[in-house]
Amino acid sequence: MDTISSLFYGLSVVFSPFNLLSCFIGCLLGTLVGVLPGVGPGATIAILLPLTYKMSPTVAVILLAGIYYGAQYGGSTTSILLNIPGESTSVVTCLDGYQMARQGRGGPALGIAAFGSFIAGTFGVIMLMLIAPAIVSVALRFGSPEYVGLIIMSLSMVSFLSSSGSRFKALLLGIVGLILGTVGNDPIYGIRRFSFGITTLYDGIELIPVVVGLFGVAEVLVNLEIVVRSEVFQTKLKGLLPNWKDWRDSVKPIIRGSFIGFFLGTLPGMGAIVPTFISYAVEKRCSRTPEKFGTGMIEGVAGPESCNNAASEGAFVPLLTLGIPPNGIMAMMLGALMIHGITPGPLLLTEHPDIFWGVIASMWVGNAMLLVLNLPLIGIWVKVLRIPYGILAPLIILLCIIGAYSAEGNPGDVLVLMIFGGLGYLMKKLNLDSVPLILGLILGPMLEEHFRRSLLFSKGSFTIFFNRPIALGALVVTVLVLLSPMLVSLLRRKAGGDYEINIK
Amino acid sequence: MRKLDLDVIVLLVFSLIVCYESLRLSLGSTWKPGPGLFPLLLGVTLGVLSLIFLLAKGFKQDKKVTPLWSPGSGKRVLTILGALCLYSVVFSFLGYLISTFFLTFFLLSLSYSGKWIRNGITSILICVVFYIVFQVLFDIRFPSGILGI
Repeated sequence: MDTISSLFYGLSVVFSPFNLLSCFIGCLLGTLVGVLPGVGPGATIAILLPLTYKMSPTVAVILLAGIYYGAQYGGSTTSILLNIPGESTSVVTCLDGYQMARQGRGGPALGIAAFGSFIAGTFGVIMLMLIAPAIVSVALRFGSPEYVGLIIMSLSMVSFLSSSGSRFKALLLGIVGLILGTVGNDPIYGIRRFSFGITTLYDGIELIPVVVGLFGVAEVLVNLEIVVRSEVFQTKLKGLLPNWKDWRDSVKPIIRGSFIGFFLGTLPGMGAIVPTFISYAVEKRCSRTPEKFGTGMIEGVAGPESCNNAASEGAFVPLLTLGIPPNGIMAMMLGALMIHGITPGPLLLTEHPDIFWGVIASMWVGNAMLLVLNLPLIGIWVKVLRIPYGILAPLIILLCIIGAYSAEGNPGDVLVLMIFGGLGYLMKKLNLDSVPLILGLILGPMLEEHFRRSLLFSKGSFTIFFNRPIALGALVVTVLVLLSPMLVSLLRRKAGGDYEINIK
Repeated sequence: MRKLDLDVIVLLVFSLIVCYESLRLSLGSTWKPGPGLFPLLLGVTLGVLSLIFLLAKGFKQDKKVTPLWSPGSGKRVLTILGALCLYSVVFSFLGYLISTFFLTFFLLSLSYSGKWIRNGITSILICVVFYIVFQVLFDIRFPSGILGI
């Protein structure tokens, strides 16, 4: 099947009534959680994950993907109108977007953010269609040693690059996640490990209570510490369509943002936050008036907003082709597919083309929906922002409880949820990232299986991981990533600076 | 005396427990790995890296330590966490409706300054709506508890 006919096949999947409805609901929910500060797409996906049990896998993944890229759209609204980023990926948008709103140009700022996101989303879908099959054809030749290398590389990169706090501690938490993944029955001999006679642990630690606890409950606890009172910028929104000059100023930033976002988004650990900062820096450098950035330049909105949307689609490349999630939300998407008995990876394209092409095509349809939805609904989103968090918090907690309980119908999972909720809260207070822990928990069983299979295949020789070029390459990248702070420090010292090696 | 990183010390102790428990399982051999081998490798890696971290940090000056909680906020969160843990314990025994009503009422009273009668009615409404949506429509079986529903 060539790319064009594959796209048409994907569109035929999306345009079935249920898939179209789930795409619509996903986009709507995504925009809503993107708008609401303190409710992220990670928590929403985690809460809704159990409700997708009864859906077909295609419907479920289309819904969850819609939440993810919909949140990127929604995040811009609060950044521009409130100077509070609804999503961390919209932090940069505050700089110029809010200033534009203060000058009475909130409409064009929101408009260009929506149009830029749509253009970048379309670009991302086209790139995904072109690149994914090529990677799949290479990945089909991968064996267990290659997967061991790639999983270790992804986990190290995510821990080291995406962490906002100490990178070294993030790496340690990734290993803790891998250890938690070994709880329960041994995959080969079926012997119970680390369950200490607790029945809830016999089949391992359930992913959903852990994720919902770390993302959902912890987020609510942090927000309940202080009652946030935010004022919506009082201005009449008119003229959402950018004028000719706005378009002329924004075309190049949108193109650059799309490229930067998509390609950086495919890298493990990069996520969508770092590319938006890079995009902003590039726009500032390319501008003839860099000193005006931060005072309401439309380029400062168009570039990063296009970038975060393209990055969220780039993140699907390693998940759909290799089965390796590059960030926490993709890890949950992997979990969603695994719940339905589907293992993402190179075989997904041949065994489940409906999911593969359906999800890709749904992103394009979803981006079009978001464009149509977002501009007329901005007034409603602004009203949503006025709901007191004190009322939202109990509702979110209840959804978290129901989400964790309904996964297995086991009351023990509610206790697991609360334990990980408390742990997640402590981690947030200590500035520790929970994503490596979740990624480790998900990738742990996969890593153990490939690791043991490799050793069986090589008759106990560890050299199998160094004889295969791809496995070796991945391990070399891992070592370079881990040593990067020391290497950078050494290079700076050589250059004459007075820096010291710093393990945070 | 320098401040030690308590979180890394906890991880070091955790790694020791993992190593001990792994050794109690069959390790097998490298050509036929047993159930304890992989967790043991992870436990050793975690322990070694935690030690490296503690040793490397031991030679450095501490930055100024800022308190984690502002006055009152820690107590508030601890109260909520305590209520959530109590809820998870009584969830099966009391059943969904009663335990969830008390939790919602407690959370609303703490986070939203409304009159108790209004919070009570809101809590009942929330519990019933969630019950109808999830138990009736989505067919999720909640614990029936002492009410039997």
